[in-house]
Amino acid sequence: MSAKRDLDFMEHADGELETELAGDGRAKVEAVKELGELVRGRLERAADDVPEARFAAMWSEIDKSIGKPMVKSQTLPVLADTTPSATGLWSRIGRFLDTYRSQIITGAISAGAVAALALVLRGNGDPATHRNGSDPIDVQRVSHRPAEIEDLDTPGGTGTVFNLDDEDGSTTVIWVTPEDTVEGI
Amino acid sequence: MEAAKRGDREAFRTLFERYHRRAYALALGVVRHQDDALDVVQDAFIKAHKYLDKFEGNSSFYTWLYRIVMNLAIDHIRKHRRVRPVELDEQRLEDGGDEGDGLLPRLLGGNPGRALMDKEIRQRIDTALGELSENHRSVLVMRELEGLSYEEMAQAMGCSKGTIMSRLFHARKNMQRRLIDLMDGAKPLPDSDDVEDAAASGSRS
Repeated sequence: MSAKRDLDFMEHADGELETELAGDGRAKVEAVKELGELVRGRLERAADDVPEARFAAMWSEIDKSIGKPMVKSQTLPVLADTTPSATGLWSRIGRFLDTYRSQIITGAISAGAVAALALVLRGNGDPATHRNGSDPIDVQRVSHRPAEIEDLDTPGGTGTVFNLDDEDGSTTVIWVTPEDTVEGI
Repeated sequence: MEAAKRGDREAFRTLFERYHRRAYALALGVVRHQDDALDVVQDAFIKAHKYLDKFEGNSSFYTWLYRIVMNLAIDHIRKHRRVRPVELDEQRLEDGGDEGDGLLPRLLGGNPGRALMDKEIRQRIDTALGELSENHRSVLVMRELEGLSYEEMAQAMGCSKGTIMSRLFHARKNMQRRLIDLMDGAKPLPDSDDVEDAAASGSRS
């Protein structure tokens, strides 16, 4: 029996050729098919034996790799940004406040200090205002009496106490600068 | 498939869930190492996703995917080829210059499923597969796992149909030889003068 004949049997087993089979020819075809089932069965079983966790980890890596160029995230950013819940809105406000926290604190303190100064100066220049108040004498007395600072706790910042003296007395200003404030901002 | 092409990640994940084990079996058949096969499958899915827009849908997604897997698996073993001692006898078998033996008429008594329950037989198959040359193993795995035609395998491996037939013939014959002691009363048939020539002339395309 020739190699050519065995090739014919193999082709027959693979469905590539129709040929007459008898005796050993039929047995060889069956043996080829059987070997095929063994190889296929072995590999499929090996694949089944891999824990699902390995493939889950694989997907995680694939997902990371393909994440950036995915059309989904590119075409739907507006949808993602315009569907916030109430908490989403607040969380965005919170994030904004967190981002500009130092500037906001500095601004608020500065505004407070300026307002205090303006109140003092305005009080000096417009006595009528005080006279119209319920207790102008007390206001004037408090405003012109130097404050006694016993303790100053400014967590996350530096506190500075100013005493502004004039002919009417002394005005105390407490200036707090947060530590993470960048000069000029 | 269409949804995946449009960029729907969940749709792509569905494709992954459907085919990952099958792709892994294919990769494992070629590269023979679990971790290497997992790497190949991972890279194959990433590559498939990258070129998803080029998939025209003329074949099934898996047909397209297995080509990627095969290419990556073959690339992998070429890149990571480990020098291993090859016995003269083995080299002769791989080259097809064996002693004129053809296919064997029997293997495991006609019950492969039952045979695979035996751990030793599984190990023997693993060893036998591992001892085949890369080309022989690749063709055998493609044929047995994916049922590709000779023509399809020739296209996938970039060689002639005759070469595929020759490789497949020798792969099967060498597997049979390596598993011969598991066989049930089989004896090799004589002959096979020149299989390479026969395969070349037998490629009827």
